[in-house]
Amino acid sequence: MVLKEQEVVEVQEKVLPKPTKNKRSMKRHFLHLFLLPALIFYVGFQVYPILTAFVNSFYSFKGMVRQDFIGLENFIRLFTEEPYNTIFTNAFGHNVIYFIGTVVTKLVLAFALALLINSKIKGREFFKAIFFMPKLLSVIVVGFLFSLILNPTNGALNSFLKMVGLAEWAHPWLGDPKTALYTIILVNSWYGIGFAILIFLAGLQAIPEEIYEAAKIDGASGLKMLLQITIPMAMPSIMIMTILTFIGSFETFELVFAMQGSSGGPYYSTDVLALFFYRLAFGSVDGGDAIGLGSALAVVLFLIICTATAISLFFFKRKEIEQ
Amino acid sequence: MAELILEHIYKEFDKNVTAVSDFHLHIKDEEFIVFVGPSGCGKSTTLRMIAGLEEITSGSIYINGKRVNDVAPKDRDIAMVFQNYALYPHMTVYGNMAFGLKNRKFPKEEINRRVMNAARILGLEELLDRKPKALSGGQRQRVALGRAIVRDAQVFLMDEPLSNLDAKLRVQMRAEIAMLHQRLKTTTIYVTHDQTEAMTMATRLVVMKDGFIQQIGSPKEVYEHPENVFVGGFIGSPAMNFFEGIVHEGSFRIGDTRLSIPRSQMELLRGLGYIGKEAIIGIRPEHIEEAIVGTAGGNGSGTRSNVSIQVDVSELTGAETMVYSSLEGQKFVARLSAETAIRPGEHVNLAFVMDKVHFFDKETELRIRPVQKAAELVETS
Repeated sequence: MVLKEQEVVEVQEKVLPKPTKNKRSMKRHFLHLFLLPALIFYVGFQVYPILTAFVNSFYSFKGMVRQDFIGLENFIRLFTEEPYNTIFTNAFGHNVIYFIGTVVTKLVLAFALALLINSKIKGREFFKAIFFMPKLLSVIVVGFLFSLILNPTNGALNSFLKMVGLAEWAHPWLGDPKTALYTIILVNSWYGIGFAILIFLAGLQAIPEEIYEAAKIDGASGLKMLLQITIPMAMPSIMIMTILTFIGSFETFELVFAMQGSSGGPYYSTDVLALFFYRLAFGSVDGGDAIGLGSALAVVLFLIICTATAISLFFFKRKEIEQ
Repeated sequence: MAELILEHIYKEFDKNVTAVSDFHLHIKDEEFIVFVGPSGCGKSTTLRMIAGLEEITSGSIYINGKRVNDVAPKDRDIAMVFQNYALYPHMTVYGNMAFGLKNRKFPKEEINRRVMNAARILGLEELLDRKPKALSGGQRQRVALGRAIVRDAQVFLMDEPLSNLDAKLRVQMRAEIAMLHQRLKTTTIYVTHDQTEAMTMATRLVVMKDGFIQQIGSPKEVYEHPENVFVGGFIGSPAMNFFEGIVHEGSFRIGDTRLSIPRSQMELLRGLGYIGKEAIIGIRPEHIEEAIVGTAGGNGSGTRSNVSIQVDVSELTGAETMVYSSLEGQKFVARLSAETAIRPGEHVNLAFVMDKVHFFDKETELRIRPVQKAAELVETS
């Protein structure tokens, strides 16, 4: 049978996939290959440890060796058995204070500074850079630096206070259980304020000038403008910073570790959940079962952060849609 | 209701950039004034000075006889509609309209009454619970208008309020704003760069360029008697045609083309010593007609001059045809009837209606007018 030219084309179209489409999809698959290294790293160093921790939390351990499946035993011990339950409650409380303290000292101050910088003051770029500078240092370095500054006998702060005649204010800031946690919170705020300022500035700069002008004509006072225009319109950045601060506060480890050691001294007054986890898993609090218990604590920590973040994201998204 | 006096207003920005120079205008109660001009002409700056959003470098602004130079925007009893609407995105339509009244501590019932009234006027009743994000451009613009209406302010200031709308909606909103003004009779100052908007809405136009007022007058006055080449070219679409040439006794010569000058014009030009001098003539596209074969002029009365040209482009716009061509190397456009048989490339005769031609000085680009009349004008301004 001899096919006419037209028929040949028709048959070809039916039998063979279109070359252009084929080429395009091949290109797309090829591009996926480039994601593979990152994916392997992510799964290997993020997903696998998390899953392992989940699994481990249901097992008993002897040293580093996994033993028997014990169901929720580790969790029950963590919440009911001394000293775990006391240490857990104490550390959890500190995490909450850490979060509230950081919101008050870092976020509120950062927002106020961002407002100032946004008000077209001279040298705004300079101030932005200055406030951001600490973030360039390693947390360990910051911790070490402040340990020196806050040293009760020869630290710069107390020496300064004595020099300006405020000797009675000099204080073992990190040595007194009453002030140690708050001091660390302040150091952390100093360290992270630049980043918060940048995020807030981005939020503030996204508010069109016309809105303020309209509000001015609408008779809004300075305070009203702040409460009814600026803050509601900067809410996305405020929400993001609050969520990040929450996650940061419950994950916090390095700074406390660098300044106060693994036990969150003095007398556990700066102990936080991540430090407790570190001691359980890698320290010597309870030799045998430590990995299982530590994993249980890690899972609890993970769930706290996940739940709080999910709830705030849910409200945040809803607000965003409303806007 | 209010009367505004803008007395020799100047606005200088840093580094001696003068945005507005000697702006002098008396706005009567219930007027709808339109500031029109190309971007950067100072029209928005002037409006913002009236609103109090921009400081005045020198001069005075009076609203109902009260000097308001140092009065805060909220105390000037003005309402403003912004180019990008400037609605509060986190408030509902109701909240947006009520915000100004709440700030002024109006009782709740009064706020409700006014907002509902404005919503009824603007057809926003169904949308009061929505946020601006859920509204179309036209609806947002209505909310912005509503925010101004509820305030019952003395003066409405509108800064290019329609420039973000599509062409069809713009025409519709233009009519709505005009109707709103007829209904509320609030003194309104409206800024636009769109000369059609300016022509259709204004009771009086203020044409501006480079910070200077070029002409103040009713749309008809400005259209029929432009004070200078800029106004002639800016107001009207398509723009006025200009030709440079030399004034002779009885005729205006553009190269080899002679256009006859009507007697009254000739007397004026002669009297002012323009004979033998260069000048510019301006003629609107609708004053160029198809010449009727065998007549000295066109098909109507008055002085007409026939010119022979080659058509470059002809565009049928529906009700009329725009014919593009050039005369002695100077481009022009004629607005002819849709029925014209003229096609691109054809050589045809067109008639210039010379009674409608405007004469401008070559140097100053000002309209050539009787000295006495010019003196009168200076006195009255």
